[in-house]
Amino acid sequence: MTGEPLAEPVLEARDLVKTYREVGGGERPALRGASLAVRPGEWLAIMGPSGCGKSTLLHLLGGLDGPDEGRVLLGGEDLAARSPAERAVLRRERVGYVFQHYNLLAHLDVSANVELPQRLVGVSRRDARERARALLDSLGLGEVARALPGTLSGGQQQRVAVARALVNTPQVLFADEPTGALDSEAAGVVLELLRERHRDGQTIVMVTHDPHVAAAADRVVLLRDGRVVGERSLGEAPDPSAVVRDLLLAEA
Amino acid sequence: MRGVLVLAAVGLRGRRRGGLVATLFVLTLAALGIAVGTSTADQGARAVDATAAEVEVAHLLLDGERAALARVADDPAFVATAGPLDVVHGSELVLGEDTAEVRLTALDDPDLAINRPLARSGRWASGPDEVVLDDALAVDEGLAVGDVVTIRRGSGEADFTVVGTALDLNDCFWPQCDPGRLYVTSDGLGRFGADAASAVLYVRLADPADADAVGRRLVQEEPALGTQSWLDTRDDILAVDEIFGAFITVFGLFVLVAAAVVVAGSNAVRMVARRREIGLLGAVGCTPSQITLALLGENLALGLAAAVVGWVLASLLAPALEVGSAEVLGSSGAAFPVPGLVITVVVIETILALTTIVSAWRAGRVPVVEVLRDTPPPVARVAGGGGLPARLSLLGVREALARPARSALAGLAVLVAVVAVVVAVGFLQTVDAVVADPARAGEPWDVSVVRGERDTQELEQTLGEVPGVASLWGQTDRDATIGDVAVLAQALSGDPAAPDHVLGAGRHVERPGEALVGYGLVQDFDLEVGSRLTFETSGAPVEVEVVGWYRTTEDTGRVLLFRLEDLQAVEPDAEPSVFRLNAVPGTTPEELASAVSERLGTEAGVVPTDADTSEVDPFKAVLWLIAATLALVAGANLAATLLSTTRAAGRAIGVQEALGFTPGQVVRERAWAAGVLGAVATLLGLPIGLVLLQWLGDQVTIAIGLGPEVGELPSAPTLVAILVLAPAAAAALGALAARSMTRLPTSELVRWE
Repeated sequence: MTGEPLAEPVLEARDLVKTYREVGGGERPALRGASLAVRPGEWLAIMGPSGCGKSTLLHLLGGLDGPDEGRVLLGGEDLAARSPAERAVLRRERVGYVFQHYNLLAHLDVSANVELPQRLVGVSRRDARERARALLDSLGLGEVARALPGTLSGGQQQRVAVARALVNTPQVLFADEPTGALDSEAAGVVLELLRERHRDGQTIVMVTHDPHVAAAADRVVLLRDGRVVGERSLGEAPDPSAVVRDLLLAEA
Repeated sequence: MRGVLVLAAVGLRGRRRGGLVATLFVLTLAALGIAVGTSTADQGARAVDATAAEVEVAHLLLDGERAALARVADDPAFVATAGPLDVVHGSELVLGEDTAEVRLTALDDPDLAINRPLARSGRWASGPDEVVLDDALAVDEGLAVGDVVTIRRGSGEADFTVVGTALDLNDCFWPQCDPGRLYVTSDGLGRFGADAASAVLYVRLADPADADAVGRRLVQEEPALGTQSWLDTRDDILAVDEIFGAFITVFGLFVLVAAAVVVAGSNAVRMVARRREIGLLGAVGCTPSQITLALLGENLALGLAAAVVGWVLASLLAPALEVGSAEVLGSSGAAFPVPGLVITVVVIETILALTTIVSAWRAGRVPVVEVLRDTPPPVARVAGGGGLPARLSLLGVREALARPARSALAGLAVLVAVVAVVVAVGFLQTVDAVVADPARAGEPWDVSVVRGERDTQELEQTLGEVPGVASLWGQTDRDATIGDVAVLAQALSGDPAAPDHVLGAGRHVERPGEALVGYGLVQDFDLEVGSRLTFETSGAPVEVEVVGWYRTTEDTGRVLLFRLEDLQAVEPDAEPSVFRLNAVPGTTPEELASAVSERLGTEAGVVPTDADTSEVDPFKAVLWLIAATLALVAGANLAATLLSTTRAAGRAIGVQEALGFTPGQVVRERAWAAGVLGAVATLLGLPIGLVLLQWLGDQVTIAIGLGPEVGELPSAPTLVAILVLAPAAAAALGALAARSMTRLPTSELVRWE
């Protein structure tokens, strides 16, 4: 944390509790009172061991699911108080998602995947197509604009997914293990893409298990057993990776 | 093998309960549809044959004077005989203002060695004022044990108390055949103050097929004898069953084909949904053949259970669905015909085996790594390109184009449902039309008047003067043969333009030397308009030219109409035995019959043509049940298919929601997709259904003598309703399936497997 005056959080989680009911009738707590806040323009990395609730937290923050208890405030608005349809509208206007396994719509070509979020917010067909083309060109994907996702490499698909998530200039970009399914070269390209957008002021909340990827963030929080158990600021650190490793060791 | 069985058992246990129940439901309904057809199609014949065996039916009935019967009673061809029993013809049972023609048989002890009457209620007659009624007549007229009835013969009348009812197999059942058969004691018969005019001898032969030959020989020896063989009587009894059986059999065949498509489709959908599971089994070391055999065992076990349950349900239902003679004879409770079970099991299991093997083989060809990858299967090509549709609500249609096999299965489910409805409605409309319009079944008259002892010319003139008579003609029937084939020859007299039989080809008989034939003869003898035909009747040949064929169910179309003048050429004394009358427009058959009775001073022998459809209600109930079962199977299959395909698209739905699609948008988009698929399938299914209906209808109407192209097509409003409702139903089911998915958290859907 720095000593500068803090801007109002663009995203805030307060005491989130989420429990999954299992098939046999048992319960599996995923979050047990997780809280965090994200400032505008900040890149937050969420880390933790498998099953600690990282993805669940990301899904709650982005309004893909609702908490059993607690609140999620996006731009000051409580997501839990909104209906599913209202949450959907809020997602299309303020949120972008990048998933580990791309989740591009397989039956739409690359351009159509990027056009789709724009069409949802009311952009005309022509404008959506032109914007998509410009964005894809800027990401070096202009040549594959008419290709179907299944014909692209993993790295290319993830870059298309990033383009789709960013095309409506969301308040917050959520990324769930964005490099988890990629080789190191493709992962580097995607990470650099996120860095560029972050430099332009894009708020990013990212789940990762990779310290090197987490080191690209401004801040890292560590989640264990459904609670935030530690955090470190990486902004001024000369070796962010070392700070991340230190956090992981300290809380092990 | 043990490994395969374990895998199959694990597969069954691992299935979601809801999916397992849905699968069993569809399979059981399909099995029920097949089994109902096989259970009811021949139950009439089963009931008749069982009754014939129970009463040791007479293979030959000889009717004539006692003395003549006594002379042939010891014929060496006879294995056993009963009688002669005294018989009185030409009596009437008084039923209020109506009468029913009856025949009285004197039988003091019903326990005959052969051909004993089958008691249905009460006891046997023991006193001179007691009578045992024909059970079918009693049911039809609402008479019961304890009632007092009046029997009239000539000018004499006598009252009898009904002490029981019974059935015999001497003729087909009332009201299809008359006279009704009544049993009294010898003293009871004597109350009419006259000696019996004739008697009947029941004869059992070594082989019932010899009855015609034996009968012909005996008639040559004793020309006054009348004969009736059991096989002819059996055909008469089963005439109604034959007509309805043809409908049910052909409809059952359609059910079988439709069930095959349904079972194949739903199994293929399930196998697609289990692609990942198949990959997992491969990953842990199961060989492709082990996986295929395990899936085969799993599906065959489900199929066997469904087939047995469907067959048991159909067998339990069968007694409630008795038609024709089975309805008269009654069943001995639920029968569980093994052939029906075999057919049901073989059909269901064969289809399941084929679709399982094909699907498992296809799944086995995909590399394990590809199947297990945590991403949806890639799409290589999309019809119409991969761009966004003009309206986002059509996004699901684009996805449907990208998954043609999956979409085809859903479309097939709609198509089967549409075809099922078209065929079912068409069948039922055909039955209604044929029953409601007797002319279409070969009876183009409103009233029949039996001539009896009246003078022909006088009666014809009298009838012509009755108000409301538009046309009339005379008719008399003769047994005839063409080669060795027995046919019915009907000689017509009077105005040649009066009989208005429904023609299939050619024209009506206009003059002597011409004949109009039923379609059964057209088929049997390859006849066509212009053919020359020689038949033998009254011991002499008659040569005629075929001028056309007409539609009739009588003797399944093995009938010919010719002029009375041709008959009189070989039988000079031949006269019409009955007159057929048609009413002027606006007069009902009943009104005309009433006017004729008033003019003749008696109601005896005046019979309005009965267009009452209630007699075929049980048969229609069977058709409806099969049709409803089929529609239910098709509907359940459609719902299951759409649910499966929507579930398979769960991740895409989750992604769409993550991008900001509202639940309502997702539901609408999926409804559109299902609706468009439904519309395409309906547009294909309607013509297929109509062609199939035409073909199936022809098979039925040809089998019962009506000839081809007589079936009714569903009305235009019905077709429009199908055109609108089928896609709407598909859209609604698609929306329901999508709705169930949107209720799941988006976070769960984006990880959907």
